[in-house]
Amino acid sequence: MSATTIRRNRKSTGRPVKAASHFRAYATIGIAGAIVVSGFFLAATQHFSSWDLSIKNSRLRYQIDQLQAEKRRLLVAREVSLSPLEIKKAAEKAALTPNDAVAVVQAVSKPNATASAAFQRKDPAPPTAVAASTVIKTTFVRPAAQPNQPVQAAKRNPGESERRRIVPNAE
Amino acid sequence: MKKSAKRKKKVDSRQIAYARFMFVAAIFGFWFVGIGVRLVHLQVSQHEWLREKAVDQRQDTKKTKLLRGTIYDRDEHPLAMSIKVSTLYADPTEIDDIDRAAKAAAKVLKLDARALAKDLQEGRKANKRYIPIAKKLEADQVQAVNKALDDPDAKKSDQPRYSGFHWVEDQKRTYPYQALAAQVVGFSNAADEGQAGIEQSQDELLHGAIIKKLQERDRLGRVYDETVFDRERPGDVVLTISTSLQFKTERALEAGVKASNAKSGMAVVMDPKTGEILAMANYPTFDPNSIAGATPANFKNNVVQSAYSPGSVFKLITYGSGLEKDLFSPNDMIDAGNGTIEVANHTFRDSHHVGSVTYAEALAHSSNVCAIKTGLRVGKEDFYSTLKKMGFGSKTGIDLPAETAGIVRKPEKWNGDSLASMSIGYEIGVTALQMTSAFATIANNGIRVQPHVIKQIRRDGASPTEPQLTENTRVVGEETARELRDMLKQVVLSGTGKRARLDGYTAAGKTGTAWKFNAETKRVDPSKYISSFIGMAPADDPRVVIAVVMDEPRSGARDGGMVSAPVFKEIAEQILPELGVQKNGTPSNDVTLAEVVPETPADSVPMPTPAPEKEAPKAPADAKSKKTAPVAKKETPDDRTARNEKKKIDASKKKT
Repeated sequence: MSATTIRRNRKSTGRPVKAASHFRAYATIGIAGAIVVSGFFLAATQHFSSWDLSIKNSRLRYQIDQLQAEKRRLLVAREVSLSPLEIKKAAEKAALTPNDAVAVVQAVSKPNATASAAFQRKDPAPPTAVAASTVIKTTFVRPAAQPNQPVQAAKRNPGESERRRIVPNAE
Repeated sequence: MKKSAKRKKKVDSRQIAYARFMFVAAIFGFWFVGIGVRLVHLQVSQHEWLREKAVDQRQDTKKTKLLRGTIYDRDEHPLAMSIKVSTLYADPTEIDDIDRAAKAAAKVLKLDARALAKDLQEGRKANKRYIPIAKKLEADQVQAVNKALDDPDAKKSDQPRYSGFHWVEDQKRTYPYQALAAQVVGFSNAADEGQAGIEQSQDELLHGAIIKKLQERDRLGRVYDETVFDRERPGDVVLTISTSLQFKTERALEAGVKASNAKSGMAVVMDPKTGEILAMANYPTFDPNSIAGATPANFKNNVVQSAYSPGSVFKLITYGSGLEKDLFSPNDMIDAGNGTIEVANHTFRDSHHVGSVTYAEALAHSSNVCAIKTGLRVGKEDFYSTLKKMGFGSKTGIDLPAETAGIVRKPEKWNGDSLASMSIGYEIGVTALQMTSAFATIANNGIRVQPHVIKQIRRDGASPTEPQLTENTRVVGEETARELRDMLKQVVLSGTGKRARLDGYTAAGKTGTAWKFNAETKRVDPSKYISSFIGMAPADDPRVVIAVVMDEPRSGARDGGMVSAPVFKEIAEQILPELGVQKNGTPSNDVTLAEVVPETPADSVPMPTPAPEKEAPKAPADAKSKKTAPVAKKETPDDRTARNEKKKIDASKKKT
C-alpha cells in the first residue's frame, strides 16, 4: 500500500472538521504571530534608540573632552595674564610709574590693600570706579570654537549604563 | 478507450503537485546546501581575512597620551601645565592629486608648496602613511585649518574634510609664569620626559601614560561604542614655592647681580621651622617655554648643584662648635693680637685690626684670627663632627635632581693648616642650600629640619600625600642656638652686615667673602670673589632664613656686606609683611658706606695676604683693576722674622 492510498483512506475515514476549531487555531496562530512581530518591533525600537543614544553619548563625551581641554587652555591663559611679569608689562603700557606697577603686582598677589592705594595716587576717583572703567588687557584669550553641530543632550536615567567600557590598567 | 481512461486515471493531479513540490523543495535544499557550503568555506578558510575586514570597517583604535601632570605652587597657581594641541598629518596613499593637496595645505599653513609636494611624493613612493605637516597647533589654528581645507567632495567623517589629511592629538607643556622658578620647575622635552628640576625628579609621577581607545563606528563613521584601556593617571605636584615670594626674590636678586656686575647670583628663602623652601632663585635664568633660545648653562640650579667655598659665613659653624663645647660665652674676650696668625707655616691675616674683643664682636667684625683661634680650640674631631651634624658633606635630600653633597674631607686627610682654613670657610665645598639649612638650624633653636620643595603629591583617586622627610635632629643645644643668634644680630647691628638692617624688623646674619678656587692653578684666585650674606628675620623668632650668594661681583666693593646684604634687606622687607610678620624693630637709617666694616677674604694657602679693601662703590667696573683687587702679597721668611722681633719688643714694652 502506497503512502497516497493511506492518506486518501485516512481522509475518507476522518472526522468532519469543525469551523470553530479552525477559528481557534487561526486565532492562536494570529495572536502568537502578533506577539512575535510586536516583540521584534519593540526589540528593533530599543536597538535603534540605544544606537542613537550611544552616538549622542559619544558626541557628548567628545564635547566634554573638548571643554576640558578648553578649560585648561583658559586656565593657562588666565595664569599667564596674572603672572607678575605680564602685569608689570601691562602696567608699563598703561603708563603707570614703576612704584605703581609694583603696587599692582603686589595687589594681585594680595588683592586687599595696596592696589587701591596705588590707583588712588594716580587718580582721585574712587578705586571701584577706576577698576570698573580701566580694564588692562594683558593677554589675548580666544576661546576655542564650539563644534559646528550642537548636540542635544540625551536624557539618561542614573542607572542607565554607558556604552563605554573602561578596562583598568590594561596595556 | 478503457486503456486510455486507465492511463488518465493514473496521472493524478495530487501526485503531480507532490512531485512539483518535491522538485521545488529539492531546489531550495540545493540552494541551502550551496549557501551552507559557501558559508563553511568563508568561515573556515577565509575567516581571518573577513574578520580583519569587518573590524577595519567598524573599529578604530586610537592611541592617545594622557596629559602630563601639573606642577602647582603653594597657592595652587599652575607653574607647569599641559594642554591639548593637534598635529596635522598627511597619508599620501589616500591623496589622489598630491600637487593640489600640497598647494591647499601650504596656503593655509604658509609653507612651501613645492617642498611639501615633494615630501608627499616621496612618502607615497615609500608607502608612508604618516607625514607630519604642522605640529602642535592650538584650537583656533586647528579651526582655521579645518575651514580652509574643507572639500565638499571629500567623503570623510573626520576633520579636516580633505582626502588624505588627518589630525592627531598631541600635548604641549606650558609654563604660564615663564622664567619664574625656572630652575626649580625645570622643563620637559617634546617626548614628554622631564629634563630638569621637578619635571625631572618627579617624571615618573607626572608622566602621561599612553591609553588605547577602541571605538566602534557605524557606516557613517559615527562612534557608537568605545572601550578605553585605562592606565594609571599622572599625578600632580604641589610645591612649597610661592610665586609671589619667588617673584620678589628673583627681582631683588636680578637687581643685585646687575648692580654688582656679578657673573651670576642665587638666593634661597626658607622657613626654618618646617624646612619649606619658599623661594629659590638663580640669575641669569631662562624661559622654559622657549628652550631653544636659552643658554644651557642657565638650566643649572646652582643652589643645589654648585659647591663653593663659603668664606666667613662659615664662622657660624666654628663659633657654634665652640659654644656647644662650652669653651666660651659670647661676652668672653678674645685677643686677635696684631691681626695675624701663623698655622703650619701659613699666615692668616685680618683685613683690619680688631685687637682684644668679645667673641660676639669678633664675629661681628669677621675676624679671621679669632675664628681660627676658636677653631683650633675646638679641635679637629669635634669640628668635623659638628660639620657632619650640620649636614655638610652630604646631600640635604631635597627633591631636586643632581644635588651635590659638597666637599668635606675626613680629618685623616687634612693638612696642618686645614682646621684653620676650614674655621674661616676654606678647604671646604658647600652648596647654598646646605648653608641655608645650617642657618635654619640655628634659627630653629638647634633643630635641623630637612629642606624640601614639594608640599604635596596628588594621585588620581587617592588622597594627597606629603613627601617623606627625614626625622628632625637636634644639632646644637637651644642655648647655643640662642647665643649664636645674638651674635649674628651684632653682625647686622654693628658689624660687617650693617647693610642688612631692616626697616621695622630685627635681623641677624653673617657676611661672607671668599676667593674662588682656580682649578687650573690649584690655588685661590684673589681677583674672583664669592660674596654672600645669610641671615634670618625677625632675629628673636625667625620666620625666614634668606641666603644671597653672588658669584664674581665685578663692580665697586665686592664683599658680602656690600653686595649681598642689600639684596637680603630688599627680599626680607618685601616678604615679611606678606608672611604676616608684625614689625618689631626700629626703622633702619640709611647706612653710610663709612659705617660698614669692610670684610676681605682670607686664605690658608701660603701666598695671598689681602690688604684691607677700601670701600669704593664707584670704583671702575674693571674687575682686573689692581686697585680694586686685593693685594696678594707673599710673606717672605724675612718679613716673618722681623714681625716676630717686633712682637717680642711689644711684649717686653708691655711688661715694663
